[in-house]
Amino acid sequence: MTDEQKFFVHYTAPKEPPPSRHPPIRDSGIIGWARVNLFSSLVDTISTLTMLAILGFAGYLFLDWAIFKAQWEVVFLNLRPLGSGPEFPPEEVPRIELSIYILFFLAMLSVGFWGRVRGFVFAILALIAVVTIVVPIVADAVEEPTIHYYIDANYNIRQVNFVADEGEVLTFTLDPVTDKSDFDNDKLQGYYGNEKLPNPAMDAFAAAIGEVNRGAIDPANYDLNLAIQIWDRRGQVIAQSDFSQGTSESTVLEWESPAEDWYTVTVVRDPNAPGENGIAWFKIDDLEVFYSTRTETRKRLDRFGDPPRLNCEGCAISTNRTDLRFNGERTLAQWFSLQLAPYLTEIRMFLFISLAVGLVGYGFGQAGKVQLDRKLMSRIVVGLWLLSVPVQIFVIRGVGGEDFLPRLSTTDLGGIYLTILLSIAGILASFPIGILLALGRQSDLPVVSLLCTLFIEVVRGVPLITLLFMGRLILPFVADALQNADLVIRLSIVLTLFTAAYLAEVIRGGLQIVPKGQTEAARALGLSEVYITTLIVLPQALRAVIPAIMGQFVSLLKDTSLVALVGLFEVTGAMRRLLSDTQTGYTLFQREGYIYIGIVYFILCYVLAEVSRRLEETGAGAARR
Amino acid sequence: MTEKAKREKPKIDHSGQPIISCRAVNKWFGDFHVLKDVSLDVMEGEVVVICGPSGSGKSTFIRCINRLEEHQEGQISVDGIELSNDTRNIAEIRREVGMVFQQFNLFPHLTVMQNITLAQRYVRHRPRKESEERTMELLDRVGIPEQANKYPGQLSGGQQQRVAIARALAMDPKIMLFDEPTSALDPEMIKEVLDVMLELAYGGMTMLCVTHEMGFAREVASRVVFMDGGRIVEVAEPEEFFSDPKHDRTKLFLSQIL
Ligand SMILES: Nc1ncnc2c1ncn2[C@@H]1O[C@H](COP(=O)(O)OP(=O)(O)OP(=O)(O)O)[C@@H](O)[C@H]1O
Ligand SMILES: [Mg+2]
Repeated sequence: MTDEQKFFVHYTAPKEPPPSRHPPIRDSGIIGWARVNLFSSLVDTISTLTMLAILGFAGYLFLDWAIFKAQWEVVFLNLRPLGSGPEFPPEEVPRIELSIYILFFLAMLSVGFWGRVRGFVFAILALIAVVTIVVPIVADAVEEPTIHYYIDANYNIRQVNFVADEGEVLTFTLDPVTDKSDFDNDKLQGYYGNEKLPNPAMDAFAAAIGEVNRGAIDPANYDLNLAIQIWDRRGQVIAQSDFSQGTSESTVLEWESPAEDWYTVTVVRDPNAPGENGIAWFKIDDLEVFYSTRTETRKRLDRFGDPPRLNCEGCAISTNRTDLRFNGERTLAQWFSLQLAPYLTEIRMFLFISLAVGLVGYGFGQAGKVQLDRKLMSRIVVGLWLLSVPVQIFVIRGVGGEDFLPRLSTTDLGGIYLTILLSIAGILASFPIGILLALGRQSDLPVVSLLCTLFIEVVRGVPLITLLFMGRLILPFVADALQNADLVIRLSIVLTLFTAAYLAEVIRGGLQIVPKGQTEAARALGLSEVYITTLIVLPQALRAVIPAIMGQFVSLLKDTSLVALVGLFEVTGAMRRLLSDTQTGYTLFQREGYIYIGIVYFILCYVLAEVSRRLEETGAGAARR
Repeated sequence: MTEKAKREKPKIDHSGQPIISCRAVNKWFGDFHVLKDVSLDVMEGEVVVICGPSGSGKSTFIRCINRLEEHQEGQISVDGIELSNDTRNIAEIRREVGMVFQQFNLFPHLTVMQNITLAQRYVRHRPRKESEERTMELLDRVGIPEQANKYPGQLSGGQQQRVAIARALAMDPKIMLFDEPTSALDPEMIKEVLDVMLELAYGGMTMLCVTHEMGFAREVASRVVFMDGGRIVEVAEPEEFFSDPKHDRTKLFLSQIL
């Protein structure tokens, strides 16, 4: 008989229980986790490796495109319209920044007091800060690639503003393209990375290619009569090449800059014999073109004044620097210098002030938690939030001063700021309304319950976009008071009511899962119905549906994008407008634009989701059954 | 226990005004006649145990007394106030009548302390400090002062039920209603709750208990009420009820549970 067999025949545990021990090492930590979750069996291992391969490949494809081919200028040259709306006066942008700082300060103050920021968030923020400082410095040294312009007879004769140093010699070249074989797809390289044009119909060059391929244009029939002109700041032509006379020879203009100043180069057609057929490349070599960020631009504007305005027949659809097409694949260094650095330079100030303000707020919150009485501190925080509402209105609407905070129309607001504004207003207003609707629907009074039910079902039965159109077109005629309310307010009412209807149903679900015993116990204690609802039922009901409520708020955030369709330019609308502008040529950069929008929404939603998760985990939301 | 056994059952004087008086109470759930001509008087300080088979209407009856259920015919008056649809009357009666449920019904989102102070503050309008002191006193009495800052979900069933009793007592009720307070508990915990109830009974509290704890009935009940099919079948003092039941239905019931 072995020891083990003996063990179970008769057994009495020793008087002292054995001490608790730590779990075996191999089951904890990352390695243990991976072993258990990723590689526990052959099938697991294979599927893990497959997934990793797929993810890696997808990531590679994306980064390869995003870094080496994509054109992010549409984003970083347009941070103002994307951030505060295309209609918003640029000189008033600091007001929006101030508004955001206030908001961020209060948000972080609340987080510091009621919650906690996880370590990894700090790590990410620190990383962003470091990258923001280091990249522009490093990127300064990288050389910019040569720029090619596409010119054709119909409309793509363009104007480029640039600053040249005194004595700088520049060479401009017009290269007629006369051979059909020049139009195979390989020639598109350098025009839009290595890829075919995404939307040929919207682009002159692609259109021309199409015509050539169809045979409508024979490049051999080239008869354009073009010349290169240089203009100075006063609008005088100071250099001009000969007209090309329809020959297929290259036209070259070598020009020496007389002084350090603004200049403009353009390609003109001879008004007397313009020529009708032909396609040409316009190349500018060794030229520091108008190629930089807003701050750089501003520096030049300060120094040299406004760029020249051309006013001549036959020349120039005026375009700005964003016309510049990237030629060929760029290097990683060029990506840093031409794509990432300008973006970071643009947002650097704003980012740092935000971070600083946020940190201070968080610090105050944490300090308040330790130093002050909880009740007092929460009064202070709530009071500050309430106080911030008139302050925000004051900052954004203005006081009508001449120089000091001139009055602004809310319809000028747009961009990410409007998205945040509509979301916050919607969240704050729809929550109580949703609660009231849910309670109303459950009310014993048939009229109240019927009205609430009717409202909820009607709103839920109509698409949001329809409601938004109604908000824009019908509401003003129905209610006089709304006649003068501006579009932003009308639409935010619509968004609020829409969200409230959905919230009401979510909350009603929560109300139903509070056991009847809870109300009975409260009644037996003599609590009045109002107290029963507010102190016993609602807290439990809301707690039970926090994830669903937060889901509604996330929906609201994303639904704000629909106001773009009824005339407001929140971030999606602003981007749509940029991308549909054929003059600037952004039509080519739909992908970059929408990916950026996606990232913006993701970040905003992630913040909301994180708040929701914290609410569920911590005091206010933990399930304690 | 020996100390408790020595204690005297309070003497009940049946000559005065009853604190609870029910006259020919009838109630229907839809077409279903749950209470049929139920009449009962309870004197101040009395401990009345109500028993009977499942579905006989015991819960419904005592829930009528604090208007958790509405009766359709007959009169119920509590402490001289007649129950009617007047919400002020209802509120007043509920203030005087505490109730303990089978499922405890503690508020899970509040701590034990908050559970007990809530009604004191919002119904009795006691200042916070006073209500907290009262709470600690009651928690002491039910034997769990150290649990004040826990949430109900962190307590055992017996502890939860004792909190529920403390919560009801905090309103200083004249009458306590118990609806099977021990039947959701494990045997080990039943005793701790019964001890609290016994002490209350010896303290002179008027109590109406739906329970099948016959030991409890024997020890402190002044009368035992047996219900069946929605009516009161027999009312008797416990010695008589257990040793010499009159009605056949009572005999059958006792033979099944004893
Ligand atoms: N809300 C209600 N609607 C309809 N019928 C009900 C309702 N509440 C109770 N009943 C019915 O009334 C009868 C009496 O119920 P009650 O809960 O008073 O019985 P009980 O004596 O307490 O039984 P138990 O010992 O099982 O708790 C039962 O037949 C029950 O099905
Ligand atoms: Mg019952």
